[in-house]
Amino acid sequence: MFRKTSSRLARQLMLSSAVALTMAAALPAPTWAQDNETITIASANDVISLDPHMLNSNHPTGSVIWSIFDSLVRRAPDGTPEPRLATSWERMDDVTWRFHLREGVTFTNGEPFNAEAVKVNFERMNTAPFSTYQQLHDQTGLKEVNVIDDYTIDLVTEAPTVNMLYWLAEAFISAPKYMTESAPDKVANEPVGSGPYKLESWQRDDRLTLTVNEDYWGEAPDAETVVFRVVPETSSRLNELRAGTADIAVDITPDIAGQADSDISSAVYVEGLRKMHMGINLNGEQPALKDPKVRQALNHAVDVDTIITALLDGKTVPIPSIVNPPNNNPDLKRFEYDPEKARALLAEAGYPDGFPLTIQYSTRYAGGKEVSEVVASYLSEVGIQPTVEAVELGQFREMLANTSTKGIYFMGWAALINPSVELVILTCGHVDNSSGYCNEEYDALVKKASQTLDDAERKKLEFQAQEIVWNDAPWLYLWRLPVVFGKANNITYDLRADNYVEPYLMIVE
Amino acid sequence: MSPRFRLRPGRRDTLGLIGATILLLAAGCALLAPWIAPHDPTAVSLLARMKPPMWIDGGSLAHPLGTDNLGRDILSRVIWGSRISLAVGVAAVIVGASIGSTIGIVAGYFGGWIDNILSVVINAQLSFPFILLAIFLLATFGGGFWPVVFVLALGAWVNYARVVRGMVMSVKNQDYVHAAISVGVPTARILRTTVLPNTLSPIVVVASFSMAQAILAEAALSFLGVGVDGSNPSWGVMLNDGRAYLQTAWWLTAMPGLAIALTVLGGNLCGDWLQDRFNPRIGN
Repeated sequence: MFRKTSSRLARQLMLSSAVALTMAAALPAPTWAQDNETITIASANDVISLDPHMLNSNHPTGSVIWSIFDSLVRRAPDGTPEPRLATSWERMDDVTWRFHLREGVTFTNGEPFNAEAVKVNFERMNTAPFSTYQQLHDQTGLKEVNVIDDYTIDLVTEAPTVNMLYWLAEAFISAPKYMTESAPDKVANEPVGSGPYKLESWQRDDRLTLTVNEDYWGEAPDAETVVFRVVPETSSRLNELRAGTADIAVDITPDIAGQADSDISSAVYVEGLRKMHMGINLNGEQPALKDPKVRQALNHAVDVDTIITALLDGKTVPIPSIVNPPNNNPDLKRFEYDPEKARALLAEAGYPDGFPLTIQYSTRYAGGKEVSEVVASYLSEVGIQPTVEAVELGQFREMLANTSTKGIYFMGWAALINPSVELVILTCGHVDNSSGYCNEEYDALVKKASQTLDDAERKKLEFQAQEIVWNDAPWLYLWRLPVVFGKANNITYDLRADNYVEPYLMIVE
Repeated sequence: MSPRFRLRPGRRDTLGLIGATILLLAAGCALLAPWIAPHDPTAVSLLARMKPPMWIDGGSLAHPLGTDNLGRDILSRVIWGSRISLAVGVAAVIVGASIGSTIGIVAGYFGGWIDNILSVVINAQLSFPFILLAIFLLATFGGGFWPVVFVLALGAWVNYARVVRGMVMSVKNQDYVHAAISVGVPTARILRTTVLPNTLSPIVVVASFSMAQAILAEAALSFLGVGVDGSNPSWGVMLNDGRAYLQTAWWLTAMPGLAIALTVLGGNLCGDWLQDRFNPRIGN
């Protein structure tokens, strides 16, 4: 049976690749996709949880939560806040924000939306385990939620903050009674929101189906049904796009993006914001990484420009700082590719013969394996002995959260334009600080900046902070993630750089 | 005898010789990899990525079989990949044959309740879908060289056990075995000197087949990402890496695929040939 089974597997492997080829070449676009106005979105991974307060990644978890729930403000693709459940807001004084709420909104279970619902949701966010995901309280210093009347609410912070609207855009509101009275796993699997869509079904690791919310307060979305499908293989996602069985393909790498182009579909390039890097874990298995000289050496050892040209089709640029343009400190000097200098720095730090180093990656970002292998090859040229290791996504997230990666790891952070938020990621003990970097001087500057309302003064503090962290190099700086989507030509929608996909704004022709 | 029948052994021999040659070539590649591979199999050269084989426009003699998605030389990777494939194949055969033959001899020679119990174990193992078991074990306990060998041996030992058991059951009733028993030769010595030598030829035949299957299974497991360490060039890993580029750069998958196919063919031809030589009646 040993012989039989394994040869059958081999046959199946051959067969399936043959089928994939044939499908790509021959299948016509099925017409049902247009008739029923269904939009199918193919992603590499599945949604993790539908508890709106456990939102921890932009896509697909974030995209689905954005479709089912509403927040007080919506974040436009360029980072500006727009009204959502709040119709307007104003600052009463340095620490008080007043929000006027939308009237006549009901959740899909019939509960009404009002100021009390906001208060209940915000209180829940601040309790474990949600407080590890939701950063509204941590990042804004929110200390009081005062209900003024049914549709007016005041948010009071400990100190002045510039980040209130940013974090409110990710603070989603669910039906308060349902949420507080149901078991946590029920809340995570059967969401009740007020957004444009509601959940119809969810088969884990296969597909999640949304159907239109008839009672939605805003403009009704064009597509009645949205299906988020899990298609782990990049080439399979593109095959489905060309065959018409998927309308949007997410997580495409530039070097095979050309395969998205067909009679009915094309590749869409969006200028990326996500700062890709090899995070350097200061608390990992390799103590050498605690030395800033070693971390600078790593940065000098890798030829980022060549990797961008060859592997990313020249479709992106190196990151200029840990803060995205236009808020980056323009005086920062890039770590030029200079293997000699890298060797010299290693020798200076006491590692003339290098050291063993584990490079870890997951399926979180397409192309992780290639990037890790290329970086490994560059590092071995300056004497470091790298090992490349694939880590299962769930385990990878856990390692990031616990700062327990082995050495360096392929990661991307903060696809947004908001210097204060971008800087806070690398402060001591921050939930997203997976490199274990901790510099009190930096922390003090970041905190002071986030409480400074004067624009020029704040910018000065942020520039100082950027300079400190840049030269301390807690990351091996790479590039801005080139965001490539595959999109069916009959769908009109401006895809976002931060990877949130908003099916309710898509127009199907 | 008709001319047809006279021709047959000749053709069999030729095929067997071809099979043996292929296996020897593969073994040569594995042993001499550091000296015959033109490039370091892990050396990345980003500016020379996706170069086609030399006989296609854009290819060059520097990379006879082209380069992969990171500009690594495919010929060198195929040559180095033979090390893992053959090492896994040989090791799995040795481990599987040792376990399987021992169990087969014990079951066949002693018979009775021992045979009953071992037969149940053999049948239970046979009824289990092997690849599922392999993926389960490797995904749970992690991949690597020895885990893969162990898992492949776990799938192969029953083949040896069944064949050897049958062989031993017929041998133990031969007069010379009865004679040995009646003059008081110790059981261990009987097994070693009279029973074991008689089972060697079927073991060799099964081994050559199962080595080919082990190589194929190793490639499948590496392809599925649960095989030998992914950073080493193994044929299955190369197949997996190249899959995304199937439509734009077929040589990434075709070259390791060809290497797997040829080696497995070599093993099977050898197996057929040995079967004919040792046991002409079964051969047909």
